[in-house]
Amino acid sequence: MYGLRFQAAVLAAKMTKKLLTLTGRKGTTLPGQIALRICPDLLAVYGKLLGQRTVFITGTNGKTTTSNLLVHFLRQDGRNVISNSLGANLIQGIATTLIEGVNFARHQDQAVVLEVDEATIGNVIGHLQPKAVVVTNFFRDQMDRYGELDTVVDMVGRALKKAPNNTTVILNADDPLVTSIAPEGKTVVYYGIESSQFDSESHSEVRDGKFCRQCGGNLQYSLYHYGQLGFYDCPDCDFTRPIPSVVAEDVALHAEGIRFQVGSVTGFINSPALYNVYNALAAITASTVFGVQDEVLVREMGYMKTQLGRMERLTSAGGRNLMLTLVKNPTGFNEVLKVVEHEQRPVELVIILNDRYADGTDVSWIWDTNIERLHQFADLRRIYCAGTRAEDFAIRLRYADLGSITEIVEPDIACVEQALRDLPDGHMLYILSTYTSLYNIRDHLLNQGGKELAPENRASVS
Amino acid sequence: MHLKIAHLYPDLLDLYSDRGNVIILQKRAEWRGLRATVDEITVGHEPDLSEYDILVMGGGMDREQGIVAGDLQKRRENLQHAVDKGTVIVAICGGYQLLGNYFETSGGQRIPGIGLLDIETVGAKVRMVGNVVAEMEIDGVKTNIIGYENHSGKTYLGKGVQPMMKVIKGYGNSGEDKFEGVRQGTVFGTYLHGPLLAKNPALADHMISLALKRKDLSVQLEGLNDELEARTQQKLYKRLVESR
Repeated sequence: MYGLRFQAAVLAAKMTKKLLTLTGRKGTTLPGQIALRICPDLLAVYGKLLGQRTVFITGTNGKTTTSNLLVHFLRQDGRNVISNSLGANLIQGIATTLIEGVNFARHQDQAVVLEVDEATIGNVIGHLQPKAVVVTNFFRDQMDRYGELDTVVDMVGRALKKAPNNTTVILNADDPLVTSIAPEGKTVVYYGIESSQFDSESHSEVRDGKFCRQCGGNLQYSLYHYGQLGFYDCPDCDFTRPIPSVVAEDVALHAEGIRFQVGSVTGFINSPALYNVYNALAAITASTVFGVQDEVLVREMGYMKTQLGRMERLTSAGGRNLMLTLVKNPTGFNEVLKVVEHEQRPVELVIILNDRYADGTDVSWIWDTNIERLHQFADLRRIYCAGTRAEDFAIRLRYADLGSITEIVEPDIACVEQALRDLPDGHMLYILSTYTSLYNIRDHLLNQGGKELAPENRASVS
Repeated sequence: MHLKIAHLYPDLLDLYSDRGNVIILQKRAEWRGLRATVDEITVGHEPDLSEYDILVMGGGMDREQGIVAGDLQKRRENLQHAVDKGTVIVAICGGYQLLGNYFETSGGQRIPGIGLLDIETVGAKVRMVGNVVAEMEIDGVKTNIIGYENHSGKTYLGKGVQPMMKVIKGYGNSGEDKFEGVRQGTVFGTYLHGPLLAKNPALADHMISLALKRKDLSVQLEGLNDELEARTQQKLYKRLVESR
């Protein structure tokens, strides 16, 4: 009933997946790639089948965390949810996810949450006809692939125009680059942070959206969170921060996480970074579009857990405290440094910098980080560097006058082991890694007997 | 002794972490006991550029580059005067292109440069992206330079200028003639990010020496411990060139 080509494509993909699994591979890309070659309009068939029960999440940072939180809310609401949780966010990965997940007999009950790469969204939006699209933020990232940030913003802007008219577009009100692409004639819902505790003292951070995309004017800020995020206003035209309908207030950092209010509901996330409030807001806004019951949100927002390797707290086999987090661009890196600054215990750092394709082959961005901030830590005893570009980071540290406490240890796992072995009692180890080492390190720590910190083991925060 | 560095258009031409070059020049001067200060100069500021020993310009996005192109026209003579007085100019990517005669976009639109360098740039469809290994002669010594390029403009050299380096790996100016960058007296233009000076301390010191020479101070720069940079160079050379 879906056409022979479609059926052949699905069959071929499923067989490919089986073969890959037998040989011990994940198979998130190849099955979809083969299916798309056999049936080029595969996604359109799924689009019709799923009849607007799909949501897209795109943007530079926070795609994975937002999508995982949303999946969690929907599941707690009793939905049957499919998602590309392994981060396979290019067209082949999306096709693989759908082929694997969509149940032809019972698809009416299924909802689909897809993290979509910024360069891919334009190629899938017309076919899959999403019910909602979330755009999280835009920061300089992986310019080896896209050339410049404006190109990425324009690509997503064009994609939003191609969305069906009844698609709800969910935008981060605080990011002028995001709000600049609000499509006309569609329902746009905004979310934002209205809490002045985070009015950043440092305006010297990288700010990618300094200029008004409407008229070129110099944006003015009355409140400024991080990167280009805040309360902005163009003095030369009518471009201004839209008033968001979903708002986080009273944001407060704790050692174990971050707390905030959304209306009468209190949210708590187990990772103390301001950007996670945005991720939570995006997920909350999308779940309201899907009609998730209020009591589910009230219950689940009280304790939200971010994804593996995104500011994840662990204990090592030897009982050492550590935090593992992904870093891949200067804004994310600077935000992690702020979290490190809130740490009560003395800290040590491991920085793993790789330049494989998935990491971004260009490591220039490390020069845009405010690594000089580390001078504020009197107790910082050692910074370990590892990865294919360990030396590049060590040079960056040298020019931040931190060279005397920098040590290169290869390979990455040996580096983490040495750092743990030498960690003084009562110190906390922060491991900052680009993408391709992140899961290796995590798997290694857990295989050696390390543990995720379960919620009940946490110090209670009141 | 005071080394005056100016970072030109740090708010407009800051796409690619080129501020690293400013940090590196300042630190390497300070580590030798020189006083080194950095002024940020952008649209609306009108200092006499010839008072600076080193001017650093980075790359920007098309729109920002357009604003800079307009402003630079007004500084043309100011810049020429600085060059005549021996100021060192380091211009990367977009900054490099704007010092030339013009940039012609792939759509055929011609954005005028200031003609300080006799080069012409033409927009191409395919971006030239990746690690670059090149060879440069610094005070008669052949030195390896390692950086990263990401540009769609193809730059062609006119009669009056010399290429800065010979490409061993990568595209360079146009991807056609194996040349990278331009050197004309104390003016250096290149596509290399990374930033350029991070892994190439000999080049950073060369620029500092040239800047000091302009004050008639033929100072022999005290050597620094650049073992880390040397190791990085060797590792990357091995990976990018030898194991190809």
